[in-house]
Amino acid sequence: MFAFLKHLLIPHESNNHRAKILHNSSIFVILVLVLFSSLFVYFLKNTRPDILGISYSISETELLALINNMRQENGLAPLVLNDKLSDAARRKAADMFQKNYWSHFSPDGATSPWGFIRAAGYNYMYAGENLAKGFTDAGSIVNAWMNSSTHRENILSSRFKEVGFAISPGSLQNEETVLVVEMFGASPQSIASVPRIATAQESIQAESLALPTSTPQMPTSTPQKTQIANNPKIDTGITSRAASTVGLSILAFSFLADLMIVERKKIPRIVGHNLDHVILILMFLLFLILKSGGVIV
Amino acid sequence: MTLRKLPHALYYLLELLMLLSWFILISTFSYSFKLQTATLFVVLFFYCALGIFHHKMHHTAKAKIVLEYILVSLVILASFLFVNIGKI
Repeated sequence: MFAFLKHLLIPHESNNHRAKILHNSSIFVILVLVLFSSLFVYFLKNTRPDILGISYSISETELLALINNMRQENGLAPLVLNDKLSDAARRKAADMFQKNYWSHFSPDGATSPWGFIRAAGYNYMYAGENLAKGFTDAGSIVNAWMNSSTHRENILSSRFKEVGFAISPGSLQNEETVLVVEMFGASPQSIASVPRIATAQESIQAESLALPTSTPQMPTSTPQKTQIANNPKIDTGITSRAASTVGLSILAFSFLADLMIVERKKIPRIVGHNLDHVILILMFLLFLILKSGGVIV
Repeated sequence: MTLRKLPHALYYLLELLMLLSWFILISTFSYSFKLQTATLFVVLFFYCALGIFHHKMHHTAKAKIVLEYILVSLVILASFLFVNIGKI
């Protein structure tokens, strides 16, 4: 076993002073393995989504609680869940899926967040919208919003009194994803009823009142989903990223070890510059590590 | 002649700058898988071109070296598609 690993990873006489894994034939085998794995995952994902897929769990209650915690920490009154704003959010999510866009405004300019809020019957004095897609849990969504100045501004605005959410899985721009639409609003009635900063106890009451206890009154083609979850046995994203990270790390290590050993022994040979490959692989590994699961606008 | 005198460090610096630019572009295009793929495709082409040029300047460009650069680039491209399999 040790001899095999040495032959595979360390340059010496048995592999003509070039780690076997770095021979063109071996790199070709690695390429075929990655392509075969991609095909296997692609077919398994489509035929058996219960085994292989994207795992996620996002609930409206959790989003509301996290956002109200942020507001409370900043001395603001909690937002109250509003069915009409949730309906507006669902209409917006349905519109994005239908017209295949990812923006606050539709590409044809026909729809805007304010239009959906009005269409849902919400009479607003102030309104705002936060969007997120591709996240797998509520905490990551709220963190991403809080790290963006404009989204943070919406969450921590004292003008907004009410909020509505839509959590919609579907296919957007050829990608299976989960859209989260958050609509903020303040109607003349809500402004009159929430005139001051709530105490901690009042916040808890507000959150419990915000729990969805009945179906929305607004007629809409999209069914209401206050919580969505998908738990396949194997998560595609995590598995493919972990496998690629391990495989490429081994390759980068081999190139580096090969470079150092051969340089030290001063063995003459004609091969590609290992440092070129190491820089490329390390940069790609950095991309994999920093690659975030979701996007916000 | 001048190019031949360029130190190896300059090539690596050029490569690093190119890959850093790619890193910024791919982060900017996080909303579009197609743009990200196109960016990676272009940068891998220039990676191969720069590597082969580097070897040519030092008279070490051989078919197996060209193949090595192409294979490493293809492994990176295949890995990118593998980690984004949910978007295909």
